[in-house]
Amino acid sequence: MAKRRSLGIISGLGGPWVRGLLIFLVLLSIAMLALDRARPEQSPFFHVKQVVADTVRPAMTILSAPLRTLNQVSAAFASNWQAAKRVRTLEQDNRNLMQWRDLALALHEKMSRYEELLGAPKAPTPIVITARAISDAGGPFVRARLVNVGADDGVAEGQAVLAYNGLTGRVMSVGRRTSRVLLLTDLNSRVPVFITDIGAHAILAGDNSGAPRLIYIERGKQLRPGMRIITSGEDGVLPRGLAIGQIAASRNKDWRVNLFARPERVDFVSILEVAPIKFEDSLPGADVPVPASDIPAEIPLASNTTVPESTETAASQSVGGE
Amino acid sequence: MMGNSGFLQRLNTILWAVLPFFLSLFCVMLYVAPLRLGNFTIPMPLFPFMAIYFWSMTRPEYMPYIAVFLIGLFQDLLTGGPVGLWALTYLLSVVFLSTQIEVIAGRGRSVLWAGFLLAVLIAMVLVWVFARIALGPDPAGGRLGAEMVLSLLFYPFMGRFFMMVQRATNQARRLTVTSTMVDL
Repeated sequence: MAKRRSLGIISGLGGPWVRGLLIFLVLLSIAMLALDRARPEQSPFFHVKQVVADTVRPAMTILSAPLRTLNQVSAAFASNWQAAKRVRTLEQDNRNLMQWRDLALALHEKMSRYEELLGAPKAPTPIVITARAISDAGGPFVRARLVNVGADDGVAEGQAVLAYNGLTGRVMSVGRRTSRVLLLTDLNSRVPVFITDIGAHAILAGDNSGAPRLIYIERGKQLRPGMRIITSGEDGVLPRGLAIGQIAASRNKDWRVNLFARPERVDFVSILEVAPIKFEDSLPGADVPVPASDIPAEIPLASNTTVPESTETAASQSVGGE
Repeated sequence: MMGNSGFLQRLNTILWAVLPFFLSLFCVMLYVAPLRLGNFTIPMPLFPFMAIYFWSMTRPEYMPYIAVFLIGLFQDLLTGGPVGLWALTYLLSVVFLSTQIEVIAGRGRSVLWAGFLLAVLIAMVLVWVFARIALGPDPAGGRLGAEMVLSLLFYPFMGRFFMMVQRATNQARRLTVTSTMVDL
């Protein structure tokens, strides 16, 4: 049996150099761990992590290709499961979406005329950068994704990252050709949000679970399950109005949010290259609640139909673009 | 001519010796690769620790402490988690394995697998404790448990693959030694 490095307290030991090296490495690890306890952006290793991600990008892209095929096959299998029932649901959704589209076009036309009358400046059209997740960078302790676009593609820190049906996170760090996306579910994620149904502000705080918590909820506001959550834009980083999710049923007033963009489904994402919209608190009616019950009154929805999740998201994303 | 041949042989030996280290780095990348089944993200088995364990038990000289530290550090940097977390966990796990090497090594695959069960349990407990200190209450107990179970299930396959690499390495070393002796 090979005699090798080992601790001095056991048999078959390495020499003093090996023991010294071991002790040095353990102490170095502890020191790094102690230094890196701050928030990700303040970590002394913040840029080193991104350089490592940039370096391994080609290897990760090649490595993720066969796994992607496997993912697609399994997704296709899952999609074909109960296909007939899904087709019926999709047909129903499609009918609802047509009605929403007509409403959206009518409102857009009306809004354009109001803006013209008021001389309101046009909001910039967001530039969308499409990216693909090349790793589940994070392991068990960090909810993040490494995506295959970086500063060379126009990505900057703080930009909003959307999956196909809602906000999923923000760009935490940017390398030349890769970026790290911090998901809403991560322990370090804090996003100011707006509860549209009652016009209340709160903070959406990730805790590494699948459904982030709502904290610092505005006083005197009664929350109910099913209320919609959008970004409030008050952090000056994310634009206002991006759809996030719905309030989940709560026990002991521990309000959590079911995200529209489920983090486990994040694969292709859109990164919004847009300056955050600044709005003044003094503007009258800036935070007027929009009860969900008011909207369907104008929409000729068929009886016994509900507005599907995807429909709501689409509607709110169009609000976000304004 | 002989000198050139000797250099190539030494290079060959070195390349085979560093293969376990680079294979472990590859395992780290495999660990962070995105894998989904249907609508669910599948936690990855702890591939890097499998490599570290295998070579620590079979050829410890190919997996020195500095290599273990660098593998852990690479994992920390790639995952974006607290730097030092996996490095410290792997180092302390290997220190523990050093005490068990005579009990586990050279006694067949089932003992090696049982040893891995113990090793991965210790590694998971260590990383959970360090993460709890670094990140706060209950960082990811459920996911760690899932990774541990998957690691146990995957180890026999990965162990077999590592064994093949190990045999190839041994063969290459023997060939190198033989040809050096012929040259002499």
